[in-house]
Amino acid sequence: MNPSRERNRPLATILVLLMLVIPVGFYSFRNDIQARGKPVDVERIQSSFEPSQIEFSREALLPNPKFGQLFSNLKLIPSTESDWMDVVAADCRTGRVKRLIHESNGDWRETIINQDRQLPGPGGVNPVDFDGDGDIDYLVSCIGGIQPTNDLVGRVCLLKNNDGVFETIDILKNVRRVTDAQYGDFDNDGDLDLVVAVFGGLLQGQILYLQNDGDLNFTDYELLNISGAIHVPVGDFDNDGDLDFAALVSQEEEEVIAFENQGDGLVNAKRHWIFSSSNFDLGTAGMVATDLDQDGDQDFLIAIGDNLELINNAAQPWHGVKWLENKGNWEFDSHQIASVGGVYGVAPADFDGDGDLDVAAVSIFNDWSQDNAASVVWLENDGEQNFKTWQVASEPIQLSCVACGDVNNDGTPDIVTGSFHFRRPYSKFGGIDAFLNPAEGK
Amino acid sequence: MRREVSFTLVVIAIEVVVFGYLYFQKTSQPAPPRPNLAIVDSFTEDDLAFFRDTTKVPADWHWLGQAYMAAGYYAEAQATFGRAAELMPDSAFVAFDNGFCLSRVGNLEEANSEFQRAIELEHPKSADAMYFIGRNHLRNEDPKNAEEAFRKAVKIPLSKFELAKILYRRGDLDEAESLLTEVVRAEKGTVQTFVLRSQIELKRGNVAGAEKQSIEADSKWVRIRSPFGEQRQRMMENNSKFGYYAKAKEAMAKVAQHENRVAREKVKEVLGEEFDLNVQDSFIKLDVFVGRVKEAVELIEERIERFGPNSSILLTLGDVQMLRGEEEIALQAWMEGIDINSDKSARDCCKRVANYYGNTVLDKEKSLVYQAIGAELYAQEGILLEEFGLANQQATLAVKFNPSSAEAFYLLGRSELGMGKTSAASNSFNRCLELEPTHGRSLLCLKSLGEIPKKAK
Repeated sequence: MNPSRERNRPLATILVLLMLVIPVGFYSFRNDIQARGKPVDVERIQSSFEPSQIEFSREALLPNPKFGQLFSNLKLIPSTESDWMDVVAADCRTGRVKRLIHESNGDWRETIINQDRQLPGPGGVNPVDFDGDGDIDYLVSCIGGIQPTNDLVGRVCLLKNNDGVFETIDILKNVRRVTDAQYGDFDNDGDLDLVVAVFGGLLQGQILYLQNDGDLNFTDYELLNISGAIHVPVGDFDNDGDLDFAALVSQEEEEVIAFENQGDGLVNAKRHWIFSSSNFDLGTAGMVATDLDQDGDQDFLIAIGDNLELINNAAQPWHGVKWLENKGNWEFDSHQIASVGGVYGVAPADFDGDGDLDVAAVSIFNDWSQDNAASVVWLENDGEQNFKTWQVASEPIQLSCVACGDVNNDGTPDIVTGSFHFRRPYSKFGGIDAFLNPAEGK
Repeated sequence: MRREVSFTLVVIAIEVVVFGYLYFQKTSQPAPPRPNLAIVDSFTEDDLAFFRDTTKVPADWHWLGQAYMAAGYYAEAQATFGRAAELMPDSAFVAFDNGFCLSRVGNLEEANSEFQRAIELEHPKSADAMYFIGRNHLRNEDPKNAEEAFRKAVKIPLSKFELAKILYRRGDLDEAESLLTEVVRAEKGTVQTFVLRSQIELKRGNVAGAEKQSIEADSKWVRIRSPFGEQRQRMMENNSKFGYYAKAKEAMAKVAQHENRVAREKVKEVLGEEFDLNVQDSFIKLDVFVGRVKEAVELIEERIERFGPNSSILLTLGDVQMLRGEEEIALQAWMEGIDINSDKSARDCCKRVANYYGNTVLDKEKSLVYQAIGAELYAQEGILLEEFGLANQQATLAVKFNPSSAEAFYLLGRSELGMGKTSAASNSFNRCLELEPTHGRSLLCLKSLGEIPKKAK
């Protein structure tokens, strides 16, 4: 026996074991080794933009909310108490139409218009002297509640002003979810008639014409049986002196249908499909009529960003703002003028005072996982209808509606936004906010 | 011996170098993306962080992608699926999920490549993948390629339907209609088929035919089975496997099992983290069940403050207030429920109010008023559900209780129409128009019967 060999035996055993353990160990635990390299690259849609050169300052018009607010529509009207402007808002959460009065000291005071009863999900509000008695009434469209349903929960109501006390009158009920009601004297008989977008439930919706007999009795005519009508802006789109309207439709189809008044009201209105897309997922969310290129006819601005198919929304590359340019003879050219995720509301105004119309847009479904994702932007018009997107704000988030006007009477248009916050993230809440344009502009 | 030791040492050294290199190579592989977890609740944050930090093998990457996608982190999910696809190039399931996620973020061309790969790898739902390819072509404003894809996936009824829609838009009405007939054969009574039939008839200039189809569509509730719906369901199931929704599911299960004490704690924990309507509903039910009616009222009031009133929550509020013996408040809640909506819950509010007046305070006249409204709402529901016999019974009662209600006569007409009694229906619509000459829906129904409404005459 070799003593040296004997001495080295334990060492040899250990070494042999080690020699075996290393590969066996690696093989056994190879699946537990974690990758710690640079994280995989993530591609995402642009969610933030260059900061606006106009330094808008935010003013919250309501106290800071504890949870998400559900304002679905707002309008600006001259204040009764100052030279400034008041805000009228449809509040889906409380079932109330609210008027925020801009007091002469600059403060805002919240008042409720429909004190007599709550409304089922007021989604749109229009201040108008509907009965021609010299005071402002409010025309309200009601979607029935924030949860989608196929039940007949939609309504159109008139908040009739009786010397400052408002009475809620149902003009239309027993229909599915109503998303918009607009007015105009379509039959030229001196009273105001209505066009109504019944968005519908599952797939059953309508576009209605309610002809006023002058005494607030309405005959309703179904102009089109179609689901998904969102907005029905009114205007003289063919410059022939009578009022037409157009319907933005989004559900199975994504299209804009114009209804041409042939001089005898809307019962026999001629239909023109002025925009359509095979992209059923386009996500049109709102439409306003405006002469964006100031060539003397009415164009349309369309907000694109609806995305509610899944429990969590996703901004899409085609989201943003479209301009339908009126070329005359019911021909409209479509232009994408901004790409911003989840846009829900648009409004035109000349923010930089250069004489052309710019556009404000708000986003409800931008990529809120990004801290600086834009919730308010304005699109600067270079005068040739080429637009540059400027970011105004990244909070509050989840905004559904916007209106522009000179709320503080300093000569420049401001942006007022409404929050419809019902999904994650539950932070950066807003209510109704003004983004004030400094008097000197850009 | 020394030679053997030296040899072993050399082998060990080589092993250390080789396996060290392999270890280094493994650890230096790309790590999973890190989404901004600050925007979700802490349960979801913890679980997603755990999944991310324990992602090691390819299957972990696949699951992490699904979890990210279910939680709404689509961009991160897509990057994760992309990595999973690199690690498992032969997996049809990874390719399919990657395709779906790419579609979700609007990257349509890559999405279609991944769906195509899933088909080549023989995914069991290859037809669904082809349907999604068609769908993405539509989203890309490319109906020509969409048509080609839908033709390949024609064994899926919805694919056939999409094809019919493309043909309808192109003006090939006969082929569109024949495809629709095949869809109806596969899935009867679906709402889309009636809507498209109505559109086809309208394009043909057959207004009465179009209106007939529209009226049929009005009471249809079922949609054609959709591969997208299946994926949505899968995502929701994944979502309830972790984080907030797993906790919520657990809490609601305890409520259902009547493990009241544990259930209450769990529901409170979940609601304390984030407000969820379904969880809160369970909480209200639980509190009512265990007799904590005061707490239930507080929860209902919180619900109304956050989401506004509707007839459903007002019905519950009335019920709970009645349990507390607050009759006046209960009555007020039910009446508000009737005022605010015209749905099933409003109908139940009517029933409660009618019963209250009829049985408790013995005011038969008032009871009748609410029975009449309730009967109208019952009839309306019967029509929506196509239970025309029931609708007819209720509409008959509504007419009896309130013979001056135009709506009651309209509902009677609709139920008769549903039962095929066209002559009786015509009479009822005309009675409705006598009471309310501007009743648009009656006018429409008369038109669908091919009649000129009396008013128009």
